[in-house]
Amino acid sequence: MPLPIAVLAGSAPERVDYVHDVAPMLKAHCASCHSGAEPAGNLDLTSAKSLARVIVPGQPDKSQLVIRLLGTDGNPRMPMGFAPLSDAQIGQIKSWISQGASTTGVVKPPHWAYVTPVRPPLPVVKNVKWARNPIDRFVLAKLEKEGLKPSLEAPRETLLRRVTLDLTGLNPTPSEIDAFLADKRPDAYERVVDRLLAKPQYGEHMARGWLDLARYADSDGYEKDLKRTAWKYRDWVIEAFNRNEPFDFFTIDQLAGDLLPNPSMDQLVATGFNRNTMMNLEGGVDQAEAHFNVVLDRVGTTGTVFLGSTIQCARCHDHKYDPFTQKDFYQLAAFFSNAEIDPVGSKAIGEEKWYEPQIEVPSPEQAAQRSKLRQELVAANQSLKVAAEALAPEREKWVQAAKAVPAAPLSGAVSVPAGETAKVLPDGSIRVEGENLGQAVYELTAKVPVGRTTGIRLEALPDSTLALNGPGRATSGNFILTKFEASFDGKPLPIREAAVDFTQPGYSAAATLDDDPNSGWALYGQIGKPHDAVYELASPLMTSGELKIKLSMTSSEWPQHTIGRFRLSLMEAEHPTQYAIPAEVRTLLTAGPDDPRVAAFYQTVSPTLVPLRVARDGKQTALNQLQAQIPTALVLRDKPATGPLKTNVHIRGEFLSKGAEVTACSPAFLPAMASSLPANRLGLAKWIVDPRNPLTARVEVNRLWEGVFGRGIVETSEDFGTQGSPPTHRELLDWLATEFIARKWNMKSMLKLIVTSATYRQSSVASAALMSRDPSNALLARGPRYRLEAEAIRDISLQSGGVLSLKVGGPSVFPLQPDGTWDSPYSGESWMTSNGENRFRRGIYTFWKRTAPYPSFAAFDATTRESCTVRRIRTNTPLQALAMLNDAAIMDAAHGLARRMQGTTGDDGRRLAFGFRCTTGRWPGVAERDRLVALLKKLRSRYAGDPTAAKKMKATPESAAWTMAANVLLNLDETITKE
Amino acid sequence: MNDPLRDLTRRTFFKQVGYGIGSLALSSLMLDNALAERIMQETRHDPMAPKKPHFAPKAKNVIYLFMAGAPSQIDLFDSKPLLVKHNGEMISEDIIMGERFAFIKGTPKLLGSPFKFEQVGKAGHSVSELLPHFKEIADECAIIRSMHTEQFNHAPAQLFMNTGFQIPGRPSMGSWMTYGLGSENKDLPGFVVLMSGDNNPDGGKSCWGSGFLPSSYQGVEFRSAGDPVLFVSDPDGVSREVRRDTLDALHDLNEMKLKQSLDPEIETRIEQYELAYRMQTSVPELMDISKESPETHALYGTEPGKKSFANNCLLARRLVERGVRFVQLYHRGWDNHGASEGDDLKHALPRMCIQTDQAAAALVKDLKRRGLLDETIVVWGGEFGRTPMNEGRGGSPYLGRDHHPHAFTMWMAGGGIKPGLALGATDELGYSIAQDPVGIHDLHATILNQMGLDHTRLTYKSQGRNFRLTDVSGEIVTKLLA
Repeated sequence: MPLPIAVLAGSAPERVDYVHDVAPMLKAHCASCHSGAEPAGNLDLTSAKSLARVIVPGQPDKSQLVIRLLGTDGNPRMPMGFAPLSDAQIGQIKSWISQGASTTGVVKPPHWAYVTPVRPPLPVVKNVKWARNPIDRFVLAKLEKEGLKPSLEAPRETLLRRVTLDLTGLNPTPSEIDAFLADKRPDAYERVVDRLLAKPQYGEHMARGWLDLARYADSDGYEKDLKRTAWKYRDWVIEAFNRNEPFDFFTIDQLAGDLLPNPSMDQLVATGFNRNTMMNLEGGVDQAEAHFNVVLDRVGTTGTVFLGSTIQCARCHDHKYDPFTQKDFYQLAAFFSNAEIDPVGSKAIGEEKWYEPQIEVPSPEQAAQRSKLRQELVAANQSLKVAAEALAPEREKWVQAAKAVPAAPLSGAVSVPAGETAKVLPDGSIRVEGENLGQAVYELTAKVPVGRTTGIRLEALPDSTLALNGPGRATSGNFILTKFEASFDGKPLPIREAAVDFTQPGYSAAATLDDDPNSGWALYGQIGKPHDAVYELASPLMTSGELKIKLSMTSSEWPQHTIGRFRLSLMEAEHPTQYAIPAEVRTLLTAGPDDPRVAAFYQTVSPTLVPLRVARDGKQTALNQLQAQIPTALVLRDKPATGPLKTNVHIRGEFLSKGAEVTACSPAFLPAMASSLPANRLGLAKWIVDPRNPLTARVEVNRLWEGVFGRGIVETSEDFGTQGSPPTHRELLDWLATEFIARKWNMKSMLKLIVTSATYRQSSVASAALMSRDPSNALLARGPRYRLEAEAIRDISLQSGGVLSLKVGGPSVFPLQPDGTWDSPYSGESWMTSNGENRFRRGIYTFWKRTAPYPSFAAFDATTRESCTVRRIRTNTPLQALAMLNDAAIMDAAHGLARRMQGTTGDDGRRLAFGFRCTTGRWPGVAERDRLVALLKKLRSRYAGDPTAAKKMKATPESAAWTMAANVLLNLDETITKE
Repeated sequence: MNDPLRDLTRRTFFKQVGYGIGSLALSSLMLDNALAERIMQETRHDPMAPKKPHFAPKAKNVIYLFMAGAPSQIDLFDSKPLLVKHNGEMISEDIIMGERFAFIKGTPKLLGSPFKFEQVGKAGHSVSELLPHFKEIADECAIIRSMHTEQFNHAPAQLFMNTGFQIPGRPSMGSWMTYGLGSENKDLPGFVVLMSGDNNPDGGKSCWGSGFLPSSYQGVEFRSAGDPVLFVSDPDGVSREVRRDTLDALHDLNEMKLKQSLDPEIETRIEQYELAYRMQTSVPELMDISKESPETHALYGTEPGKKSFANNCLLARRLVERGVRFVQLYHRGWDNHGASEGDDLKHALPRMCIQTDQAAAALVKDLKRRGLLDETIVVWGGEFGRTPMNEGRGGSPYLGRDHHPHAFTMWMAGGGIKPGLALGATDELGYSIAQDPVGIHDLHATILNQMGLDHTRLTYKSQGRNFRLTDVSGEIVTKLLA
């Protein structure tokens, strides 16, 4: 309850009850030492019998319990090491002892939230006309009881902006405002609600909150905080809201989609809910312990999200306030104990990592394309195979021709760099000697007689004078031929194709034809052997003339990689490139065309097979490229169960302290799981959405309520336990919960009910009297007024600037952010700002790195998504002001809004009013407009007097003035507030 | 009544009352004056307004030099002659039975420090030759050789050291401090973080996050490159005059809205924009160390414009001078595993010492001569210690040590910490603590105590329970106190 009401209520001394008042206090403050098998001082304060030893009934001041709690006897004050109990608490204990210290007490009914809600009757109200639907009856009944009146309905523009923000997270556009103002039908507002609920932006907006619960992020967390591909889950959430998946299915899919019979791809993706846990991949981490923390996070998150309970408190000990025991906690953990894990990496060097499964999630188009390509690939391979089997005749011809290939070597003038010399050896080959100057170009000029030349053969030959026998002059025996060129009678001779018998990976024959001075042909892997390169001319050379061949070895990365010994010859065969043959194969040619090694090699050069192979490789490449584009998703999957799911209690929650073994089971104090349900996550999920479960429906309707009213009926929406705040409208909550179930967990329908209520439609303007009477608006005598969420602030800024992209879904994007925000150790990943549309996507698509959140979101209270967050705390800080004033993303929006204002017709006032309407959804009042006009005038004269300033903004002085006026409009309190 | 949202709302309400807008007079609401005073104090709308500590404090500020990566205590502060004597011998299996190491496999060999130690200062602290400047401040410092932690991987251990818990999501010490005490400077954040070294800390921004506390309490990074504080610089082409014009208009327009809607959040926002405007001047002024005297630059080894630990030490002094409550410096690169020359004891560790020793000593000297040391606690240390054994990962020939949570060294100076004290001791091999163990929560309890905060009473309710920096343990280390 808000303080004033509590304070005003006063309190008469009441009878203090042991079970309800005293025992919980002792349990909370004393039981961590004074209970269990060996209680401190042999005093168990959770046992009434033991307690009797420290109490003198009727005489609190003589009771040791009170004396020690007060610390008045010179001994350390209890509880030792903790804050003392408050005067009020000690007063209660004293009253209880004065009243006789009865430990029988009255058995109070269980906490309200643990009893299945019963549909209450609609309360009787006086102002029946005000109520539009049952919600209003409950709200009004309370207001009438408190002597308050509801506020008037909000102005239509305000209401439209409120509901548009609440259902889509965006502003209404000027034309949407006009349309609503012009619509005089009685159900115009309901029509707006229907229109908004049908927009894809509805799902995006709803997903924003759900992703905080699901601790969705695009990185692993902890040290390296590496990227993960998880966005398919995010898109699943958006789509699930948009197709209005009922909340029970929504729950089951996320908790146990994998365990459903024949799960769809979507249902598997939905299990990403529990894969959003952090992963500690730091070297040297005990992966079993890391996984233990992952499982515990799954239990705690399930408890918080679906049961509104602080189950995680029972990790170390029984819950101090709520009936969850430590055993309950680990029984829930057992449901998650059978996850499939794939250990990767070496344990011996502390680099083993435990990965859970990921699946490919092709779009229907990608799936169709992939199966088409796969079929085509099979067909291409088949054609290749058929053709290969019929090669014998042409192979025989090839062997004959190949045997003839060692033609007379080309001789002529050779030039090499000064300081190096070329020596012609008896076999016609040329050895380069002398210094090795680093980079080299060799040229051979020869006379060619009349004939038919189809290609030029370059042999790189080993030589015992070279390191490792060459053929290269580098100390490794290697060379890199970076370019091969030929000219005939002074004209360049076009080369059709190059082939080599072998090349070092990363190098190729083709690379000797391009202009890259570092790419080329190299031999690492087959040093010390002869090698062939064959260059096929574009058209055969028939006439006599002067042929010049130029070999360039100009690598700057690998200097001195020049050829040591080589031989050039002319070829006359058709398709000469098929005669670039490894030396081993050449020696086998005498064995005949049917030698299997010869046959195998021939397949690689056959002119019949080459085009077929190119076609096959093309299919393979296309398939590979498609495959690389198919997104993946992280999914939860169980190993085949070998019996009931079990785990151990961990004493004090410590990984190394294993206690008793427990079996998967729902918490003991809640309605039991139906025996027909399987004892796995699917059973757990179905138990959660069983209408008898007292928590689930209440928790979710409360969250829907919180989403639009800014605070829940239970304000502590993360805690429905005894320590949470009691509901402000208990009967309303129960009515909504039962209605939610009756409406088959239909979320859109519940939201429509809420936003069409008279309660919701009230003006948020408070009278001074109401503000002091009910500052937090717990009684709902007015409409909500709250600052927007971080993402919505970005979205409406970009929307006002006319630059917001409405593209739905896809990989996360990297909008502008200040340099140096990302810097994780050992990760090497960096923020690469997205281009085009992706720079202006909605905030929900911004890449979420846990250890380095997007700065402007962090400033506006977005969470790190390291763990489940139910409510973001709203703060109001100077860093927010700085972000709104100076962030480049906001300046982008300001430039856009300036352009829009300048593009409208009318005088300055009219244009500024248009801008004001873009950001706030209403026309400004006269004073507001005049103030903006005065600002613009001043800015204009500033920028006119300082043209360099405008230039720095990449704007004209006039548009600079408009941009800064737009910056003010984006910064207005009203702009970033829903009211 | 500890719910964060409710607190903020209450703040809102009493602000109304305080400003006389409410229809009820404050006195008629209050049961007694003490309650009224408490509520008035609690409900100040500015979360950074100075708050009364629980009791009279010894110190007002903290400068925490976080040596991320974990410096080797055995080569810097914890001299072990016996270890040197048995250098190269296998460690006894009894000692390491059941132990989990991050990287060591099998039975490792003992590794005596290759560095010389000498007795320094009046107190006769035994300190390594790698820290020549530390000698000069040794008598100001209390050395704790008996620190221990529960975590043996960097990220969890850094989180544990900073937030009292090994999983991200809890408020850091600086956040607790500003939550408990507010800040005395209205133009600067109350909790500032400065970074140097080879990278950011492994625990990431959660090391200075506010966890479940309102985000106003999170540490604000002052950066060496780009905007010193994110978004503090006006965009290109926006002069101070233009900024003032726009803020004046914004003020007037927000004021009009306030009059109409009476939402006190608007008034708070107006004030935050004015504070932002002041920060745009105060932050660059603070970061500009060029006007410090040549003598000061020589003392610290600072060079204006450089990203260095030395510059950050000087900035830390300038920050506490201006009343910033908690300043934390991170200098990463102490992870001397000896897997290569780049991270070994003989090359990498001396380099780290050269980067930090002079400036850390200069900071203590400078605070002292300016009379700030009495009210400022300087803390130096990493997230855990390093093993007395050589790691020898994959048979590496370089000397290095694995992570060691059971014993390490920190030092503290100023703020009512006993100068010249040597607290605690390890066994003859430096493996386990032999005397006066100090856990992380004990350290936290002690620092909070010096700041006038009772660690058991500095609580915040989240997810159904009251949390504190010291979780469920923590004893004040009274021997450390002057």
